[in-house]
Amino acid sequence: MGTDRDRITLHPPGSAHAREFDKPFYEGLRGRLAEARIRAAPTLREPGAHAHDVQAGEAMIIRLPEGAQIVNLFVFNSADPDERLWVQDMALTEGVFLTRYSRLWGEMARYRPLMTMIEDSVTPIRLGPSPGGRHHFIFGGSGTPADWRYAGGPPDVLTTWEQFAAALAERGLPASLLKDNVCLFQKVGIDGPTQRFEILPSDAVTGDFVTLFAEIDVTVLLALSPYVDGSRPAHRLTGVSVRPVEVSITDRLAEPLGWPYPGYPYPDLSLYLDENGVRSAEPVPTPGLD
Amino acid sequence: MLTRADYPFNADFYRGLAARRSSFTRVFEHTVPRGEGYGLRVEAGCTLRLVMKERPNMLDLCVYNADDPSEFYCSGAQLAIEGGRITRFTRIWGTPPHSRPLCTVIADTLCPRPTPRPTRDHASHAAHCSPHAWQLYTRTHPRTCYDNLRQGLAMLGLSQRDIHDNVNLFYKLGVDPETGHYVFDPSDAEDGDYIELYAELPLLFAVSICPYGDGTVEPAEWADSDIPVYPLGVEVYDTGVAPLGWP
Repeated sequence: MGTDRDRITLHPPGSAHAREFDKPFYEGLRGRLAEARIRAAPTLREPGAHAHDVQAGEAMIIRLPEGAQIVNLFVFNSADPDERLWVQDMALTEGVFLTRYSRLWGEMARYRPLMTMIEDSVTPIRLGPSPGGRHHFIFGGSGTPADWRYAGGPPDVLTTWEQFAAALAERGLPASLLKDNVCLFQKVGIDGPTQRFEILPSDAVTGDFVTLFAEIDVTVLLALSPYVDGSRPAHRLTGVSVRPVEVSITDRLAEPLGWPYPGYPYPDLSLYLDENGVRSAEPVPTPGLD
Repeated sequence: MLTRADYPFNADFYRGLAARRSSFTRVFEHTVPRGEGYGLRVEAGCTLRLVMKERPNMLDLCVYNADDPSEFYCSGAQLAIEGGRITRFTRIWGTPPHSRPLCTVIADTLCPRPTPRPTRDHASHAAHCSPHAWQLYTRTHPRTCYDNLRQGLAMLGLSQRDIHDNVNLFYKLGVDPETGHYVFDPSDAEDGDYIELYAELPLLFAVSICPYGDGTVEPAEWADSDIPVYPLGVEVYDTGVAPLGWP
């Protein structure tokens, strides 16, 4: 399925940094989900090292079978972990909340969508935009052991960072790869004047789900937040268990469109990549700039 | 609303430090040419002062532990602990496992002008421009902040792979609470305005003078505009005061 430039719009609306988007392609993918075969369907019941490989063209469905549970997600190119989620820049393009058709963008040098959210049962279907806050906040990264300790959380609880670090370690990768993660099913309200981002109790309910389409071969790390649904502070979570999360991976829905789209202006990647096609680790400035 | 973690802060220490600024000893001074990047090491107990020269210009700043650059600025933690604003007595937080303040703002001379939008100079979470953004809007490739940060890191023996999250200084922005999208205004800074960061441990800084200038020109107009950019004053002061340490 190729890209027809007549179908391309700038997405998302209202973004100062909107980028080209072939919406009919993704609408078509949604139509195929009902018939898609499921390749794997583990249920995550405990915090731990949860890493899932999703091939280009497959989709990952993350579903809540027993009520709201914040699921933190970090993703990287399976073949080149240096190409990983770049939340700071993604926020400029997509805004700070994910919903249907939000794209998860990767780092320089390729700077391309790693995954695209093609379904979100929480925001567009049931709730819509809400002045009180929205779901799927993209600035995770605070789920650290230090933060849990200073929040008065009970001991012997695996924080998000520890879960991610363990998953990376299992693959021989350093924890320093981690940057900000996205927080699925987490509701956050923003105070305009102070720009404080406040966690609110999630409105997600049993059966809610998101579906992410893999644009390239990716590895997805999932962490079950010990804050469960965000309704209780850490010091009131002694003895409280996380809720289970179902993870399904479909068979291949379609060949991804690839990035950039034909005709889309793109920089000269040879200024950044080495002979192996990965970001150069040489401590040198970008060659050839004035 | 979920109660956040309560991190200790010795306000008296930093108030005292800020009050003593006139006694600090300047140990380094440099002017970064317009539109370029720069990298430098700042010892614990010293301050880095970033001074607007001629006119305001947005800056992107990356921060690292000088002894272990795998510890660097963490914007997710920053947002949770300090919020999206950076001003006097805001701490700049690093990555786990240490999860500690890397530096603390002890001076910010900006006088914010009122705006109907939730914008204010200095933000913790707006990334750095890259050749992708400039190709998209102008089909040109100037020295972007990514390239400038790479230049600054090269001065420190680090590579582009060490470019991580950054803070945005003299960049007036905010997130619209209704839409979740960023909104921007031109910087309120004037010639001579500065922000000063106290190093809690030996640090490496990489700074970029953003080719986006003072934020007056919208991205959609970049292609048709000659965006002026300005030099940056970089000064390092020895405070004579040792950091408190963490925790």
